[in-house]
Amino acid sequence: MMWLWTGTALACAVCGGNDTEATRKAFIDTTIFMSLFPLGAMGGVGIWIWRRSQQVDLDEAHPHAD
Amino acid sequence: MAGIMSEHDLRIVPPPPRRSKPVVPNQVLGTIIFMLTESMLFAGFISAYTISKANVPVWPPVGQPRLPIETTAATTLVLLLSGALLWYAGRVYSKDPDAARRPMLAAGALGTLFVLAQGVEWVQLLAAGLTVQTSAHAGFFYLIVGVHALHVIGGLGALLLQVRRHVGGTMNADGFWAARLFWYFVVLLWPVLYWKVYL
Repeated sequence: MMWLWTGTALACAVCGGNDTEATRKAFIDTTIFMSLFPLGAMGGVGIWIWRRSQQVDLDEAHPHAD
Repeated sequence: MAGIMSEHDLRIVPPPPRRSKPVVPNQVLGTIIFMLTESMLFAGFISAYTISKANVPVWPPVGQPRLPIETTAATTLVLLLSGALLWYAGRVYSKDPDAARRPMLAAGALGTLFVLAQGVEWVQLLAAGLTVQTSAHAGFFYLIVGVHALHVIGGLGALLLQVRRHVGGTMNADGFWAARLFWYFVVLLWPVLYWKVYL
């Protein structure tokens, strides 16, 4: 890849990175973030939809209640 | 003839819907799914940027123009104010739809001001010699800020469409909700990008 598409390979943040403690920490931190973020986001949306469905059911059961 | 069922007898009558209205309107659900995918796009950018940043001892690299932190902080406030105005427009819309037009227009005007300020900033940085090819820092700066600006322009388009529908009397609550949601997304995303890219 480095031979065929040098520009593309160098654009990759991880390719050619220094093997320092800061780089290792950044890599681990972003791996954790990228793993947990979609789960948290989807879970949050799922909980919001569930709570909203409960509220809609409640509103329809008692249409005149404030 | 007895024992033979007609087509009428075989017809399955669907049960009545459990709810008279959907829990989440389609326009809103579509916007949420789009926001989730775009969040992952920006999360990828930020992750790559963080690793690039960790690879070099001094960031931003020495000899490159500094990013205008103070000016951008002011434009960040402008964008946040725009989000607050649209939130207010959403609040008043349920009680008095006509009263929502003015805060909607003000929110759009502030969003436009933000994009114009970003444009001016880019022109100044390019004139100072900071281009996409200058360094990884510059490349990430133009990529992240540019993609966000495209989202702001998209959000402004959606907002403008809602204003047009409001004027024509065809605006519906679901469409307005979806447009607001997307605007909150671009507004709340920006301080995170500002913190990661500028500071």
